[in-house]
Amino acid sequence: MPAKRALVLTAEILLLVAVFLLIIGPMMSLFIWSVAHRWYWPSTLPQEVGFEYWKQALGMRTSLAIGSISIIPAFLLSLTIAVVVVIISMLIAIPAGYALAKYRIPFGTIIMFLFLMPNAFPQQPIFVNLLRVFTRWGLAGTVQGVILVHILVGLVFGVWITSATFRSIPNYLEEAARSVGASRLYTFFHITLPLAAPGLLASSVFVFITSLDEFTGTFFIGLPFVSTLPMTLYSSSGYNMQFASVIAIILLIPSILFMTLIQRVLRAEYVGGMG
Amino acid sequence: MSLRKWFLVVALVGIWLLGVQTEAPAAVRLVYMTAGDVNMLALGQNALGPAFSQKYPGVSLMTVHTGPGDPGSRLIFEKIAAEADSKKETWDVDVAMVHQIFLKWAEGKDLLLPYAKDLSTWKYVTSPFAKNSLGVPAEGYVMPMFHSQTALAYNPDYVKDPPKTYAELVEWVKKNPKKFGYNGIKGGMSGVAFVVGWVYWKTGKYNKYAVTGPFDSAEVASWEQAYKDLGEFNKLVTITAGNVGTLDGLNRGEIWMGPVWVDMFFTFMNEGKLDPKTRMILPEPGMPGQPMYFVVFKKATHIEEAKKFVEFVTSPEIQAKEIVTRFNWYPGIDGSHLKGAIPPEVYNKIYKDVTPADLSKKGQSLPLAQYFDAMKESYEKWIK
Amino acid sequence: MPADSTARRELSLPPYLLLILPAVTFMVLMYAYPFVSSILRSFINPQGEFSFENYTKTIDLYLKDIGFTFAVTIVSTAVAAVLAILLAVYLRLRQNRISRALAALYKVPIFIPFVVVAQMMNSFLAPHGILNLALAKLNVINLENPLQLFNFYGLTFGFVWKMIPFSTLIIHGGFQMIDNSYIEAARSCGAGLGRVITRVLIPMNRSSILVALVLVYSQIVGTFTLPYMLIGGKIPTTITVDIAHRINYFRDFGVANTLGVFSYLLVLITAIYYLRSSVKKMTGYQASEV
Repeated sequence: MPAKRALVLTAEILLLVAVFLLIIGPMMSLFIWSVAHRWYWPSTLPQEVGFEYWKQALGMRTSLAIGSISIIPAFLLSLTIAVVVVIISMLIAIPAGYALAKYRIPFGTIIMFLFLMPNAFPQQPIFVNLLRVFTRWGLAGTVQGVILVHILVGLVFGVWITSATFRSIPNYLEEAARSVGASRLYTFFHITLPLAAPGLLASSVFVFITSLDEFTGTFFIGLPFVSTLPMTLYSSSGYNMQFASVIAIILLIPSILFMTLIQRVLRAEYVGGMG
Repeated sequence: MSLRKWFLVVALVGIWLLGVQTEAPAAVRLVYMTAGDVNMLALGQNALGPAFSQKYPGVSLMTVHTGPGDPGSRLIFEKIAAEADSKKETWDVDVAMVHQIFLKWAEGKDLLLPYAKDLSTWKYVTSPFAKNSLGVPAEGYVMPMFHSQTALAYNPDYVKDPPKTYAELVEWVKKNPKKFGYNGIKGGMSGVAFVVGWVYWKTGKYNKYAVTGPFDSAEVASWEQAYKDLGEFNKLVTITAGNVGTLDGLNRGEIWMGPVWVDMFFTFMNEGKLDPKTRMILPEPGMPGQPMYFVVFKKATHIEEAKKFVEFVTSPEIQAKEIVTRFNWYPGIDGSHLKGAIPPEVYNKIYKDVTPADLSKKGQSLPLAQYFDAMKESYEKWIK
Repeated sequence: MPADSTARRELSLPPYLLLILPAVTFMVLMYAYPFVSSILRSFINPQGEFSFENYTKTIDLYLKDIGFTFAVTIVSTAVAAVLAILLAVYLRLRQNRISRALAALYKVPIFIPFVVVAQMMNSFLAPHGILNLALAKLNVINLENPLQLFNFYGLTFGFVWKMIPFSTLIIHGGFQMIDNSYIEAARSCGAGLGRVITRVLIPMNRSSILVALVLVYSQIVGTFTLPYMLIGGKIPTTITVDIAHRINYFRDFGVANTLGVFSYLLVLITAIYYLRSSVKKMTGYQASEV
């Protein structure tokens, strides 16, 4: 009754506060460092703050602590690559995920784990070998090479999540459509796909973020001509906390934008599909 | 739908900018890969690049940064090895700035051009580092860009009488447990340098390990006690995550002393991340330092421009202006050629705690390659 | 497209072949050679001969680190999974302003790359970092004796922080597909919250939960930046840091690849677990036992 409801509500609010602190707490250091000019012990907060590093990062002022010219083009390059990667990856992953979910494929589990391998086996030794291969194929130092690497590490999210999504769509829904004469293709596009939309979109969000944030492979394959934002981040990470923080905040923006965009589309599609 | 349009716009803008980015404004684009700190990138892009283009119009410098420490050099090596392996006519990378270990990896693989003696600045180079890199003969293949040295940084508020020798350090650590920090041998060269200095001290055989050789595995076996002592020492100290970990620890007051690279020390201080009152001391019998080298690759696309670039950076004017005055590093060429070109405040600042006399007496080299590997592996073996 | 043409054709070309071919071909082309090459290299000693030398050396030097990696991965995955399931359940069952705020909030770490998380945790968890300073201000701890978090606990915290949002998103997505009618049916049979979770929600969502588990597990095993910044040179450290160390300081690909094989074996354990779980269909809730 009311007492119980009040208790539950209080618990909920406490949960919200706790989660807020836990998530925002570590991020505080990011925000503080991005505006810190001088910060050394024993003061809890920086001795001197300002937007100097932001200006340098955005190229509004030349800097002797970081190659600032590269950030905006790197940012746009990362973004473009991410979009291309998502499109290609999902084009390959959705059929594969569907097949793995709906059919009994021999060695199906092994195939699933094939996609997992780039994440499971530590990347550095593999990428050294990949560099050799790519150099021979003339792909090293090119955007195409980097795109291929991003697909390689992102495909696992594409295949696994779409597969799980398709698996949880009950077969009888599709069979019902088929039984009234709908073709396989029609069923797929008008029944299965809308139902699977949330999972598929979640999957593409992850592929996007993976590509945007991908560093090790891009580093190996992309040098010297391709420079993405995470590489600029790596260059300054640890050494220059201020720049690292600024770039990190810059990196957040497209991911969050992409996500909100997807959510908006998702809400519409979800309602439409279920209607 | 708006989503599609949005993507299209981004893609178009991106492709346009891609086009803009890869368009070379000058006739020759020199590709310069540098390991080392992040300010290497800035130095190349914002200081050296424009100045070089002013002197040689038609040549632009493209600076690519591969990361700090030996890992940065290793990436450059992997890139060049892959290019050599693929039997391309000319290679993507023209000139690079690397650590000493690069020479060991490149030994016998015919990757480097012997260019140094063709330069007009060769005569300014007197240090033995230019001829020998961790025991690998390097004469003619390298030009030192700058020299760096490790030392112990300390907080003078808490460390009133800093230890002047390794032995005194051991005593100090006993009285101040956990207030000394270093990163072991993983994650940063400052820790590695400290361990190397420790082995030099305990064995007293600096000359054999770093200068003359030869490599004798019996020596390695004799280090057991030295490492056991180091293990005991480690129990009283804080182990940090790396070069930056040690400096961060000093910055946050978690530790009061630790080994640092002198150039990183000054960089952190200039960037407001280290209290200006922090000091340094170089303990006896010494601690290692290392130069960073310019190398030019055998099948580089723009060999002549690469040579001109190295000549440019190793000229006394640039060494004085950029290397010493702007970044507070020790010059790669002999310092006597820079006298008068460095303002006295800068001179006093960089040589205040570690004087030139200190450097010549207590600045050690890293050991010969095989001993170096053995020292690192022994740490992993004896210290669990 | 396979579609209806398969019915007409006499050749029994499986319909799924075309669907799965692009993805598999891509992986094989791009990854097979480097992967196989890596495994082979682990059996080649510095002299270039076939030997198990790398394995004995690895076990001699890094066994503790392998165990440490395994422990951190299992614990982090378990904690993240349990908390993610609970959070997803909460978001599935409650629809009010608080839950909507929570739904927006929890997603934030997904967008932060590991490299950045590493730095944040470094600054947050340090002995004189933000967490300890805050706790000291609240007089919970004394700054002379701060919480030491550059170890197993801090690393687990970092991993869990980054992985809970990811898992929750996947698991919650799965929960959303469970129609309300099932929950109401269970409730009307007298099932309490616990029963609803364990007998309805989790079993119906097993595929999503398992996917989340495996993906989280393998991501943690392969992460380099976070352990590098938090633990770095300390002993014990993770396999990824050791691999970087072997490659960067010694160019020792033999041991580096051997360590990679061990890492891959760790993930293979989940493969077996997943295989067994996905074979068992209607019997209970293996996922929540992790």
